[in-house]
Amino acid sequence: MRIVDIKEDKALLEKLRGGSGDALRPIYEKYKTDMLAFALAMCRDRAAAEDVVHDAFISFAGIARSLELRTNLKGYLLTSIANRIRNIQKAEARCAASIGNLDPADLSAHPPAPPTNAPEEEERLQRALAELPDSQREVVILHHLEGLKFRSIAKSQEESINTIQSRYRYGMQKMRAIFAKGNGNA
Amino acid sequence: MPKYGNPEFMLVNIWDKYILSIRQNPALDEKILADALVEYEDSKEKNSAASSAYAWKRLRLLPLLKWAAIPIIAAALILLLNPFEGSSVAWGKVAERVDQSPTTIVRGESFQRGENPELKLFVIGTLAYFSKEFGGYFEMTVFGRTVRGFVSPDRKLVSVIDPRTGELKQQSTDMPGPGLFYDPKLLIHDFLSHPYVKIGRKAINGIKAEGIEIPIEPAEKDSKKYPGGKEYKRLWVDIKTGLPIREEIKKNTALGELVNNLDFEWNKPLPQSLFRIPELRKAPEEN
Repeated sequence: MRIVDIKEDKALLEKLRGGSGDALRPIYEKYKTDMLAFALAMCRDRAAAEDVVHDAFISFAGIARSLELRTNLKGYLLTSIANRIRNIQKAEARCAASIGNLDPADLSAHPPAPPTNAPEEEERLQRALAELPDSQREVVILHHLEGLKFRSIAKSQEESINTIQSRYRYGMQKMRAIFAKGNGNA
Repeated sequence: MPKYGNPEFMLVNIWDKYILSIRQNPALDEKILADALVEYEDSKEKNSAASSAYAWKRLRLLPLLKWAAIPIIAAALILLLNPFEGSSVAWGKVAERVDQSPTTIVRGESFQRGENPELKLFVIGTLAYFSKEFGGYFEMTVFGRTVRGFVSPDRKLVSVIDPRTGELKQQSTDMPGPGLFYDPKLLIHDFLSHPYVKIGRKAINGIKAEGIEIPIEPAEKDSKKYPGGKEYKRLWVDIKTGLPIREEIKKNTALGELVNNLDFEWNKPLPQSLFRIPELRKAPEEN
């Protein structure tokens, strides 16, 4: 979870409202990896995830002049992606594949430096997330991993905060259990 | 420290590493940015509509305004369906207010438009002053030549100075159509005597006005039907004073569109000297 520079985001949004399309690039560069990572974790299909990021960012560009954010920009972009994926999942079976179908190339092009066991950890994370129902996975990623507030997630999903918090609680319980099992503690 | 001792912290840690490891696709990045820029530029035209849609959505979602918005929206809908129910112009009293005004100033322009709407084929400029007590004085300018005239206090006689001879020509105002011009109050009465429809509000010379419209009567038109936009006579009344501030007429003619606008001012003090007829030789009466 990285610290988001909200002031910078506000300045960039102000530029967009003022008619400067140049501000689109720094926004995209800043959040493209978060968007794609989230879309991949939710969608489990590289092509579908790229499509969703494409559509979400184009949609953002279309309304950027009149956009007044109630949450931060990162939160807006991620919830926009979450909404799209939910719609896709409702409409298509394309995103129903398991996380095991993720293209290994997605993780191998820029392997992180130390620790050396990173791919194994990441694979464990992906598999653990894959075991969660979609609704819990979404909340765990958005809240725990991307730092969005429950209130923002609840608004984007048109659910009560209590529902979102329950999903998070159950999701995290499962994640702990999966990881404990993986560590031989279970 | 156990390898998976703190699952919450570890999850975040792994997630961050996972994000760093995601394969980038520069070609896709450029495509997304190019498409986004096109969408952004297109949104210039859609912006106002998007803003209002967003404003509506925001209003709808604000908990405090959620319920307060209902009567506002209901009122707006009523106004939309019956836009003039809340009118502040008492139309039944316009004629009365006009009659009570001691003076009237009229500034008018009539012009003919040809095929090119920017080009006025000819223009008649009018400036007229009327006093309940002293009568009227008017100037009409056509092709740079100005005709001046006077209306008697009883509105029955018009004295016009012939611009060629300088003689004074007198004639009765006892004519059905043109006679209205010699007293703007008659013109307003005549307008209001027709069944009219209310046409909403607009600002005229910075004054908020409410308008009514009547059709052009067949007697005022050629028997032929000429192409062109809608023909109408409109009267605009100052919402604050309840007095007319403009009459607009638009007719289609053989030459094109004929537009006649008269702007009114009421209750302005006017000197008696303005209405004094100069002592000129009277032109012989025509048979």
